[in-house]
Amino acid sequence: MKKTAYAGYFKMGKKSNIIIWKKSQLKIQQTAFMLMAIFIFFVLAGIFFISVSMQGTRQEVTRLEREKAIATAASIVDSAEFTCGTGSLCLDADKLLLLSADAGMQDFGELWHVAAIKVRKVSPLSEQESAEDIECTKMNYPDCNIFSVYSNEDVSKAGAVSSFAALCRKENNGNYAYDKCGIGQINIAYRLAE
Amino acid sequence: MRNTRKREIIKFKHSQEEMVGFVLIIVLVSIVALVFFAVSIARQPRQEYRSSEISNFLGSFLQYTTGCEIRYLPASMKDIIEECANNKMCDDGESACDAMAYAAENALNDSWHYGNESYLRGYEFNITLTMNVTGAAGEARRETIQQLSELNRGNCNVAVKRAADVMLPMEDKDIVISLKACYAG
Repeated sequence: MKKTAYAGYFKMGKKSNIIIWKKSQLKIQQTAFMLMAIFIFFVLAGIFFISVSMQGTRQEVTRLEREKAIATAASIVDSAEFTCGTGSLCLDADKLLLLSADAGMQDFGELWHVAAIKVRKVSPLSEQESAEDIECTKMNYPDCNIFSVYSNEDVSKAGAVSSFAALCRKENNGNYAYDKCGIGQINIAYRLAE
Repeated sequence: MRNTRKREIIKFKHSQEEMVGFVLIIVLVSIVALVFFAVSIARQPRQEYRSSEISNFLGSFLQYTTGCEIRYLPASMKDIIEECANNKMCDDGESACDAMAYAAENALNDSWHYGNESYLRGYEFNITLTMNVTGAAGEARRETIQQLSELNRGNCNVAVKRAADVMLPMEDKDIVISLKACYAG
């Protein structure tokens, strides 16, 4: 009879065979668990690294969106309805006063697709203007600091952008008229998809 | 009996070696990860961005009407900066540089509110008189001749700075107005 390599193995009792088999199973299980642990470790490390690097990307996206919004606000400042005409980024306060008072300005929503336009005088401010916001009307102008140019009450969800711009008005200095300018801030609320 | 004990010792030593190997692998991987993170953090520079918000501010700042009258008309900030660079006076005899510094401080104080509780931690504002000079090797570079105004407020030792500058050209020199706003990261 031809002897096989397993002959000795089969010669052993059934019990010892089972013990060896179980030990091998245990070893395989150990290796499998080890591999899984290493795999999970690297996956977690990878997720951590990706989330850290994505954070930077998200910040960059926010910054670029903000820059784009400021450029949009600046382009509105330079439109004929607002500009004082002496240079770039110059708001005419006299025009703003008329626009705030004019009910026809409700068409602005159609023109600019915005929810609201508000202009705030930033500098120079009188003591009263520093203490509280004073809405500009024909009665109190120019001793005020807020021009509510347009507001659409129907818009429930809006984002906001703002930009600095010179805020100028005509002033009489005896025989001369000149542009008296301060620093203003135009705040534009735009509609967000609901 | 002796054989069984020997086998047990060998088995025990094998297990020990496996454990030491596993710990070594973990330690090595941790060290590599730490070095990697340290390098990536060290590489991140303090970020300084060109900002259109600050650029727009400087544009409106130059149009700001000051209390200094020149030839009977209130001068704009742009005018008194140029007058200051030429060491001129306002009509009332006040130095144009003093009037400029006063107006600039007011405009900046009103426009940029900084503080430890605020996102804006401080700012650095400079007006310098510069000149293009040619070096010994023939290279062109900009050299500061005179600091006309310097206002550093709050804490600018922070991660994010947004900056912009504006140049006012004069005959043979240039005036550079720069503003850096310093934000918490």
